[in-house]
Amino acid sequence: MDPLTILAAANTAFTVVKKVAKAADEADAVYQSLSKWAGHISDLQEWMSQEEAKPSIFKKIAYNKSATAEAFDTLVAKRKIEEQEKEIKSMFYIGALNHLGIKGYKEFIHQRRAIKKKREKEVYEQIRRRKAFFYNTMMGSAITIVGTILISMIWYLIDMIKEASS
Amino acid sequence: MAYFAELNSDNIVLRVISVADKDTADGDGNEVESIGIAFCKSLCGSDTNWIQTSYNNNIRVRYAGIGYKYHSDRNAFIPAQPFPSWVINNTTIDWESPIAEPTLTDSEKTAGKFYLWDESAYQADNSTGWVLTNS
Repeated sequence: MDPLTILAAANTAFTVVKKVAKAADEADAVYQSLSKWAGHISDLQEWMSQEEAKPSIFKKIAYNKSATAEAFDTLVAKRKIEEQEKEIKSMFYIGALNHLGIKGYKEFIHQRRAIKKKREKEVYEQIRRRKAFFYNTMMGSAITIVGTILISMIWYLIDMIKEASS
Repeated sequence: MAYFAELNSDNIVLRVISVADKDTADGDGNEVESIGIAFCKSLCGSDTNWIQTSYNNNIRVRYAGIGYKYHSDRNAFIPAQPFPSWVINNTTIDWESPIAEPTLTDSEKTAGKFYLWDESAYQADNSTGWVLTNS
């Protein structure tokens, strides 16, 4: 998925977190909204780590934006994540989630780690495998095509030399 | 829609209710807090104590949350003090730690570390307080 689409989803989830916190709903509702937000953030962080790990030639094939636009997207996403993380922490310490306190914040961190672990197992590994398969297939095809062309050229040259000598 | 917070005798917010604009408006259609308060009292009892709050934080610094205290001297709703050493910043009307939170380095962020306030560490040594924690 496009990083800006994931970021938009994360922003929407964050708005819900703030609304739920303001409404002073049950702790369950708060953690539910926070876990939704954490899921989107986890997806975004996974996208960023994938982008950093990608070979540059493959980046251009898989992501049809300029390198500058892509770097800008990453920067925007990083900033937004930091802002929202800071605001959530502040909500627990001195804001609308103050009643849940530092214990609540630790619970949120624990929950976030569990979400990341779960998504790592259920989603990201599959995506990585699929991408690796796509990348290997493309590289394999490219090597086969180049190899075939080279062999044909050598064959053609040998043929020409044979013809010239006879 | 207007919002009113019910306060107990210690000025702690017990609940927040929404009131239709027509129930807070005077004859000219202007929103008047005292009319809204009278309406809340008519609903919940004349012995109850109400004060207006704004969902968009336009009045009294911030939207009243349950458990927040209304400080009449500052005309603000303020959440409970998170730690004994934290003080109110007079500009932001927010609680503030006596030591600024250190910024996480990139490697700390990647490792999923974060800072937590440790009041006992601060009380033991006033130059510490934020403790780097592993997630």
